[in-house]
Amino acid sequence: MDGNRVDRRAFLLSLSPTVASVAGCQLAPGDGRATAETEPGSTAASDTETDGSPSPTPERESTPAADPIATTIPGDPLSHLPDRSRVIREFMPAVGPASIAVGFPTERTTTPESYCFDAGACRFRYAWHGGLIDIPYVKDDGPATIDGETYYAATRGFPLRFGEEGREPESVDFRGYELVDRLPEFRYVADGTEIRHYLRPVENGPGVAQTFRIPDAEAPIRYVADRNAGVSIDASAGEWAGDRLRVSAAAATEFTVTIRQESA
Amino acid sequence: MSGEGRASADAAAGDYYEVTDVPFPEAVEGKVDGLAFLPDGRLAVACLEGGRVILYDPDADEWTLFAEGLHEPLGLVAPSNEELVTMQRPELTRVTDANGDGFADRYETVSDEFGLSGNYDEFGNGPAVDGAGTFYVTLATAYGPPEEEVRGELREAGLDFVRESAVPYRGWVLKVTSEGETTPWASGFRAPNGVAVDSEDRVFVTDQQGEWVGTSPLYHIREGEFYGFPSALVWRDDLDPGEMSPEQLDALRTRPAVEFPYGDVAVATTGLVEDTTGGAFGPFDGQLFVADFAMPHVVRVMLDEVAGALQGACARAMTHGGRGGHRVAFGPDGDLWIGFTGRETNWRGGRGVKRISWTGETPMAVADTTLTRNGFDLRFSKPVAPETVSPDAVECERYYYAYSRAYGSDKMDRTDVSVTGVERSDDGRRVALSLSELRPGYIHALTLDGVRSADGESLSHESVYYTLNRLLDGTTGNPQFE
Repeated sequence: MDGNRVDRRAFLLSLSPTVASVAGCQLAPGDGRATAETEPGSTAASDTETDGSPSPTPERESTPAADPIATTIPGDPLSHLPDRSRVIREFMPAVGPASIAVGFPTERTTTPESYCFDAGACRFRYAWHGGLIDIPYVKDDGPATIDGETYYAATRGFPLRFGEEGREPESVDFRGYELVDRLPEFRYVADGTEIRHYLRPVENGPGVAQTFRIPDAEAPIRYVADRNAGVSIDASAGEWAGDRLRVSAAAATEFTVTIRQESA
Repeated sequence: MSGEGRASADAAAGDYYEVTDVPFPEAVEGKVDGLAFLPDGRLAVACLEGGRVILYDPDADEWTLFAEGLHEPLGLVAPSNEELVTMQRPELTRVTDANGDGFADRYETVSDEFGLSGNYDEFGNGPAVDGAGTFYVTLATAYGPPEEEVRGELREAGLDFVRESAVPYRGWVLKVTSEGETTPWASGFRAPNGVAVDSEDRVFVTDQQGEWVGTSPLYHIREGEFYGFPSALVWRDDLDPGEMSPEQLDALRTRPAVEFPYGDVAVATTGLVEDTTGGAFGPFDGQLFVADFAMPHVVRVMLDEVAGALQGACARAMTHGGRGGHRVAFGPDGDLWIGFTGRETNWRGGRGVKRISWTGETPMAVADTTLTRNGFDLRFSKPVAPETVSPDAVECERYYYAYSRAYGSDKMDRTDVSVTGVERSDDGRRVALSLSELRPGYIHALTLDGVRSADGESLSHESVYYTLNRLLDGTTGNPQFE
């Protein structure tokens, strides 16, 4: 169930937390209904929304900017997993509604680095550095906002092409993820081909090394790169022809495409 | 006569049930969206902030973190001690601690075969699971237009309704096998917050008062049926809901098994669970208990199968004193645990978890209500004092809630119904009420102010509300459209 794709690279490259918030703004606030609390026993049937959900209200409390994934649960926090990834499914700006923000373990990067994976479109969407995300958890406050500077966005749709003709898959199906060495490995199926997609930080980043594992590839795979300014893209296997990387079926069992922000 | 719930009545419940606040970890916002007991007796709690699932060991009074990062997980079931299945916004997900370190490391998609428009109100609730391991989840409709990117087919026709269903199966109940095979199973739901399967594998869903929903209902779900909220019909290719009149929609719909009178019993019903404690929670084994966002009590449902369909009565039940009641689960000790989810909006309810324990003292209550040829047969939890049983001790009023696009409904055509006879069984446990008339299509509200138990106690909750869809011979009624 792929989403409608929108070219927003130009926007994303200048993404700031403020801009992201505006861009993600969802609805005209409210539907005109009152939002007073309902007293038990009240028979005012139509004065309060009763959809069992947070609802439009002009009165918004600011959401605490606290770490959304605090670990200090008395008794057992994740003391045994001090440098885990933060994998947060949330409405994210400028992507599909089934997206995932991933913050790399901070021990593995010089500065906090994060990226967005779209579980609807089954692809990496953009990466940023500086922080993770702020989540409003309040209706009409829109999606999460990115805490940091976006340095890369992939805007050319699903990046892998199949068959000798290099066709784009007609369907993608998200199967989930598993933490491998405390980083998520995403699993999905594109036109029947199973793909494992593992993203990890790079040395001398910011950057993302994307390892694709396609054990059942029967023909060469093509990877279509989106070459953002100020970012280098390298591959562990295959041959480049312009923006297209051709990877043999044998090499497609595991190959890595590395995106790295070039130093100023 | 519907102002039941006076302080004295609710206070009486305190003699029979104790309410305890479960100490909640300070670092976690206690907006509880899911509750389930693991086979080993630990409680799994899904929370909004951080998308966490935390585990509580009641014996050790200790919390641990099991999973995180889920997108508003609105329900849990626990097939094993290492595995939970949760409905989060984008999918039904199996969350597993595969390496045995206590922290989940595998998040598998069981089903994402439904759409997301990006709208906040498109909540996904559940799952409930039947005896075969099949899951049932509910998909709320939207409250506004879709975002620029959506998941799934976008049908413009679904935008022409109040509370949109512009992407697949918003306003539906989905059936999902354990292998992920997904079937759009029943349609016509507005904001169906609660879903449960009882010990007979019957599927129940609560919805919430609003447009097309006169008062919060309990639906008994059967495959293929339509339960009344029109926008969901956009995903039925044999119908054009935009061209259907309220009368036509009404004729198509399956009525609620039970309607919860607004303000008397419930306001916005949420999670529900069957009492399977075998009597450890008092004299209500086999009945459904329903939480409510706005009410400080849980609601009890007395089902009655009449002419091949479920209908029945509801009543206020144990007072917990909280607000924002959201999820309910019975623990292995027979306590009813309730999670609360107050939000920074108009639902300023409580947070965290409470547990309700039966003290072992039997409350005086209408334990069950069944329809008879000319009235109702009431079964009491304790013998009734003969001198307190008379027609004067019982009042009956009937009314219905209108089906329309309007937001909720007043009580329509309110009419007092005469109690023409009462007959007490020899053991005092049953009282047969005869009414001057039984009219299908109406709620019949019975208030038993004067009834006392043989040991002098008044009813802990003195009103029951019977949704009379059918008479014993199957006759239905439709006061709004007939």
